[in-house]
Amino acid sequence: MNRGLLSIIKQRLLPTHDPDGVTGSLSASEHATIYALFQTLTSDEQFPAERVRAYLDDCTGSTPGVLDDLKFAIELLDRYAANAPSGKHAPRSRFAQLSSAERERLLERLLPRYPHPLNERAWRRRTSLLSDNLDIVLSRPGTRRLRDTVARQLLTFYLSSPEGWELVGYREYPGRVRAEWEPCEVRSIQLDGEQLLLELSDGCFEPLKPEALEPDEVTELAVFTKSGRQRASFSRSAYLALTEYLDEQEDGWVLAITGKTYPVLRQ
Amino acid sequence: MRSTEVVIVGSGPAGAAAASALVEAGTKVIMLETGKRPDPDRFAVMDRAILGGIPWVFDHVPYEMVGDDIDLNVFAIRMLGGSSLAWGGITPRFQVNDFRLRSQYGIAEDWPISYEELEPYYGQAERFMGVSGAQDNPYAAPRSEPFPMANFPMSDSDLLIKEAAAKLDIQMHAVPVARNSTPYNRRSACLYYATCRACPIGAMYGSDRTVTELERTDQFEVLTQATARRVEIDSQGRATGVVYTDENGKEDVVRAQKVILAAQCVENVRILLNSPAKGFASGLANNNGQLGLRFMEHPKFYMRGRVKQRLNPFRQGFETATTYKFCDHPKRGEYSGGRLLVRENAGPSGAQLAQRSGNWGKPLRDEIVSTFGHYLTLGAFLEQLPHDENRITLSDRVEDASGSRAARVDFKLVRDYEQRGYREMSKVMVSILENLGATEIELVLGPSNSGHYMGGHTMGVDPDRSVLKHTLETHEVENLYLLSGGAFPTSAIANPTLTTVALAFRMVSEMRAGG
Repeated sequence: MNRGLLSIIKQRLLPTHDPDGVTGSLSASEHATIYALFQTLTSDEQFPAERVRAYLDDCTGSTPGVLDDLKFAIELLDRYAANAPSGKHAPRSRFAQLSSAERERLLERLLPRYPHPLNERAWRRRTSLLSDNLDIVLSRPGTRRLRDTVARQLLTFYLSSPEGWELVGYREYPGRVRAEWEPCEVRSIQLDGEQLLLELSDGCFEPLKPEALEPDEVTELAVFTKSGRQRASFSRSAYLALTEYLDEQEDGWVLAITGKTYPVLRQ
Repeated sequence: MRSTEVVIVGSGPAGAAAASALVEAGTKVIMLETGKRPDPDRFAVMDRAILGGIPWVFDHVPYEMVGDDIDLNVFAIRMLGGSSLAWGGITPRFQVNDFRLRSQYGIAEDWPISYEELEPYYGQAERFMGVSGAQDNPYAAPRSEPFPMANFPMSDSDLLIKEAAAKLDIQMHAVPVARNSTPYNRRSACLYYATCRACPIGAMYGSDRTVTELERTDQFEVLTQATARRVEIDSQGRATGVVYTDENGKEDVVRAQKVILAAQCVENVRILLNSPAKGFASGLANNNGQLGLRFMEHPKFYMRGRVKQRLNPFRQGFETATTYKFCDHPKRGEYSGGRLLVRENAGPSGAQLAQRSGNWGKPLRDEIVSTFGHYLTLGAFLEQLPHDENRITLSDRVEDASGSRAARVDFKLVRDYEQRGYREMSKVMVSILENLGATEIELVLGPSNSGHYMGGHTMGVDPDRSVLKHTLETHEVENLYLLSGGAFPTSAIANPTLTTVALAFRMVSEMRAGG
């Protein structure tokens, strides 16, 4: 029952990137093609291109096979775009040069739409027996690769982002909480071994990273907490406690903790 | 060569708890951890988890499976902190009868200790890890102290299920979790990042933090990337230390008066079977042939139904409602009990929908909006009986990187006892889902392993039928202790970590009492 033949077969049928594929990065024009695909798939023209680019650069640089799949998709999309019946655009356009409506029409040929098995009773039964991936049945190998390894990856990235979660009314999830939108204050500072432990007003504790301190016009000093996600001011008592560990030296301020010094407040 | 009073292999919750208690008592401890230190930037770890990647990268260990896979390289994380880096944090206590299945129901074995004997250590374990909970469980064993923190509130899915279950005379109650509902022990309160197996702010207990704190004392040292190879004994048959290889593959030894293996039951057994010693032809502490027998898991399964109401799943990443009603039942001698729970994230998220939908663009957006939040998922853990045939031995085919024989695990997850329990719990789930008007009720995960590894070096009063005494010292090798869920004679239905940590504290208490 556990890990039966069926689940092994289904696992084998799931799409994967080629583990022997290369790593690297896309060129600017290749990124433009993928970004145009991203906009069409997500129906979101406003999502910043640089975030898509940063995500893809991370993937193509670290996961073998992703770059190959993206280049395959770019070649396929540009080939179809070049052969597409030209409207107001000149013939031999690239995918990124097409209008939104033209991209959508082109993608409809490559990626025929079908609902999730949850919303299609007959398919749900079939996929439970065969595979989680209906493209095994529905798509040709070339377009299946476009959908399985590129389109679904782009959609997962988008739908895991704050913009994607806003679709279902969640502004804070995932990995973002309401507390991060609100002012935060360092309530107290405690010496914890060889580091200073900050107690924050939202109930969090974390070690002070000396490089995260910065001057503040109003409170004189602030600190970036939660890996730089949240800026926190200091309460009066916390500020006074911190000054016990601050020394002014010839070349600036240092944080001195149990005999070790760390430069701070140098922008 | 290094010398110390106690050497501990493994830095998961059990090893960390033992180390903490020993150091507090003034004992010098060296800990060996096969993995590296975890990434200190927990937000980066969380970001990996959000995109569906494996949040932790660790060296996989080869092993041979015969039968149902136990997914060792998914659940047994080889990194400082062990499995506590990515556990659910669910920390229920066992019930009174979980310790006496033989005398109450005529099956399996009784534990050599009772709930009453372990109870004070349960409290210590809850304080140590920081457990949030409520005393609203009518089926719970008696407690001598309150939970360290108040429970987390139930989600809207929980409340819907709770109402429907109540009509069937099933009382849902809070789930004890090792997560801070308020700031505790200089650890953050949960802020609901909702990526709970990769908690970025340390609200979930992780034993890497305990180890890091212990490192500030003079009595404690941890060696990472130090892989235990074998236990050594002296001419009197007493454990004297652990041979390990460092990150460069160089062999070294830690000499100690006492040796504690806390490397999870499969690895504990493998180390001993790979420890040749005079007088132990079948592996250390295995002259009675009991080492490796009766490995256990908790079979789990999930059932889902569609509801008209729009719920708000994925707001938190851990369960907050359960019931013990079906754990200890009158027919427990005939079929497994089950711990019913409400899954925290029911139905697909938008990203999960997109993985299987053929839609894209606006039709996909519409599909997500109309589908998301309309599902409820119930789950259950079942009790698996101990069987000699579920066993850990050494593989003849697979070796690890250093050439040592890997573990071989012969395992069957579900036999008749568990199958009957599965059917009974399925009926309960269907009746609850039907009671609240759910449609499209279906099994979404058949009985599967849960990463709750137990048995394999069980404790017992009979030295011919068990590996450990009630103190967790082996019957056959003095000063050798085995600390993990492997010590459990039976699996019960509660997640095992709290009980393992309680046993760690009891073990140290017995050590101190015995000098």
